[in-house]
Amino acid sequence: MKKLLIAMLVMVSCFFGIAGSVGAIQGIKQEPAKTTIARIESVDSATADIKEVQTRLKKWGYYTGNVDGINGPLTISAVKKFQKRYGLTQDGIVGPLTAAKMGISVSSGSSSSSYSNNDRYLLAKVIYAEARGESYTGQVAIGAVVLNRVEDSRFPNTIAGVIYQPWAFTAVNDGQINLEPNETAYQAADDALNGWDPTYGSIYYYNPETATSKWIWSTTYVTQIGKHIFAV
Amino acid sequence: MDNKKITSVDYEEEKNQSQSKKQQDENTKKKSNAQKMIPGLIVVIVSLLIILTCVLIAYYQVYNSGKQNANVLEGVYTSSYYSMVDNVNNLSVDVAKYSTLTTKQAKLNTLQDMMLDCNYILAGLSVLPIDEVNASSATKFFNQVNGLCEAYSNTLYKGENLTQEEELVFDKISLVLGKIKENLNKQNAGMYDAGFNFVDASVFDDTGMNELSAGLGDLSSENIDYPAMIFDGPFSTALETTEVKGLSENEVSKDKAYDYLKNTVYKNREDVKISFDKETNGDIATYDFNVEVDNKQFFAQVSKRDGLLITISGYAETGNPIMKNEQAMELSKTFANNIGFESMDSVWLEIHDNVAYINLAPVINGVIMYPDLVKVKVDLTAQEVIGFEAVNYALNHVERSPEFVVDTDSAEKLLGFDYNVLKISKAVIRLDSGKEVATYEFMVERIDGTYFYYIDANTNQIVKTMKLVSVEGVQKLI
Repeated sequence: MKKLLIAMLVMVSCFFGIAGSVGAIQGIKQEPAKTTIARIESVDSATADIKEVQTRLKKWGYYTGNVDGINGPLTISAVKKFQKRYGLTQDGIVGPLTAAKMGISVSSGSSSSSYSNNDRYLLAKVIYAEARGESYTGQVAIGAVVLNRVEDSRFPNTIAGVIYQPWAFTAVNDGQINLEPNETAYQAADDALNGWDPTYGSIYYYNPETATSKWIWSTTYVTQIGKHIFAV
Repeated sequence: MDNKKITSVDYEEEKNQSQSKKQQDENTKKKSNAQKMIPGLIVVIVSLLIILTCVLIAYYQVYNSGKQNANVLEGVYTSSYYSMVDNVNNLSVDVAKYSTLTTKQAKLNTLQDMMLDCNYILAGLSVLPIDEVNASSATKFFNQVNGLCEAYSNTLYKGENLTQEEELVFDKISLVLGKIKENLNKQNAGMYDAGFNFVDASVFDDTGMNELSAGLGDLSSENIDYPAMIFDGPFSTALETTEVKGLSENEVSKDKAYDYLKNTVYKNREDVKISFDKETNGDIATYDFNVEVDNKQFFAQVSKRDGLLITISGYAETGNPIMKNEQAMELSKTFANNIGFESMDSVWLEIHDNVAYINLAPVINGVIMYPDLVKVKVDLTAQEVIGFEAVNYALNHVERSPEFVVDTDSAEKLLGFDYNVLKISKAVIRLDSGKEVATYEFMVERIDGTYFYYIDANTNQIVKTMKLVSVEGVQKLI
């Protein structure tokens, strides 16, 4: 009986072992790319960096005491003055609203990145997904097309809107957009965001060997970089 | 003889007995084998049953989760669609209302409502799985209506009036909206039939059109006569043609472009290998070259008109920065000046890993000419220029004589309170409308960060405000 159970276990585990490995092969996980994205501005709300608050308030004439990190009467009074000036509740406490007005984030441990870093990340993702086999210039060109679309009235007005517009990019449809971009894709995104556009304003690109849409052939050819033809 | 006979009979019997025994043994063996196989069979059958059950459960879960995902997506599509339809109706009503209004305030309010309507419509359009061509024409129309309303609002806000011609554009807009509503109504009628499903209808057929696009009717410019809308904003029809002002009509040959690259741009690099790739016929027509220096690949584009370097595109390997920022800026300025871009000074620096992006602008008589911005990419490890971009220069560079009528004290009064001026510069900037304006650039430190205010030096109005985004390695230089 014991042998019977062991045999059954072995067979079932073998099946699921094989099934598991197939699944793993199908969903190859890329190593996260080494990136240098954002300086994350967050300050722990518990400590609220009194020195930072005092420094800012002193700079702007609300606080006259020493920058000592002690939340004493002078500091509280200065915070109240600041709150009054900006129409906030005058409780002398540097809560989220007051801190935000001072330019201090109090997201207590959670991180926030700037808009441009999100753009950089999304752009790098679409570049990697659509053109990782292309030359470096070919990768910059894909980023440039996305940015040209953002500026063009015929497309959504944000990078995310353009990339995730239904059916606009194959990589979004087949899920390759979810692969983590590599260092080259990030640098290509930086180039594109800094204005490099080897396609000179193109808003379409296609691979002539695989393009299925008949309409795409009616666009005006601008240039070819690697396998992609860029057009307006 | 008898003995012999007995022996023979015995032998036969023995033989029979032996055969029978053998048979018995075999039967016993077979029986035993069959008995032994039963547990094995049980194992196989039970295991198969377990596997089958698990597969069925997994299939059910996948199917169920797929169905749930499809339902969620259906909800998103349906909500976007009806929101879009509602807002097209709202816009249509607002446009009609506008033509009946006589006071500026009422017109301003309605223009604001129309802008909101457009934004909701655009949000819906960007989500719906309509094919690219149809979506692009409709998107352009609503973007332009949005821009037009904003420009008209600005005019009214300044106390000015709209001309009769400007007001008449709304009649054309109204006609187009009528056509779009007609197509939407057809689609609505089809959707009331049971079984319509956005997810199913979003699958494209061989013609590149899906059922949804077909149902919405042809929203492309071939079917609807979208009006040209010229206004003071980014999506104006007037901006659709790009004029190249920075290059003369003098066209250079491919060989001359090659010589310029070899002997000017890569003057000090004896190991450079340059090969012609192709021609590009964009707004700025170029000769394109593949360049190899020190086993690194670059792509360079030289304009046909004037033979000026427009782009070098190159990648820097990850490494430790050796060059200092100041050295990189000096290198970029020298590089630009040596290849034909004169009076350049660095105005912006951005560092990513070991790469510096330096913006250069001509500074003429103390005025920064931002429309002529040139960008240089420097590898801080290899300590060399690996990228260059001068499209803005080629498009906009002209001789200018900007006038500064207002004084800086009057301009500074517009900055409000709680600020500290870090720097005041004279600058020519290009607005979204494409118009160039002479401004005072105030670099101002406020409680929550650094701001740049651009104040028109002739009308004394703030025409652009920028906030420095806190990203490591970004510096304003002059």
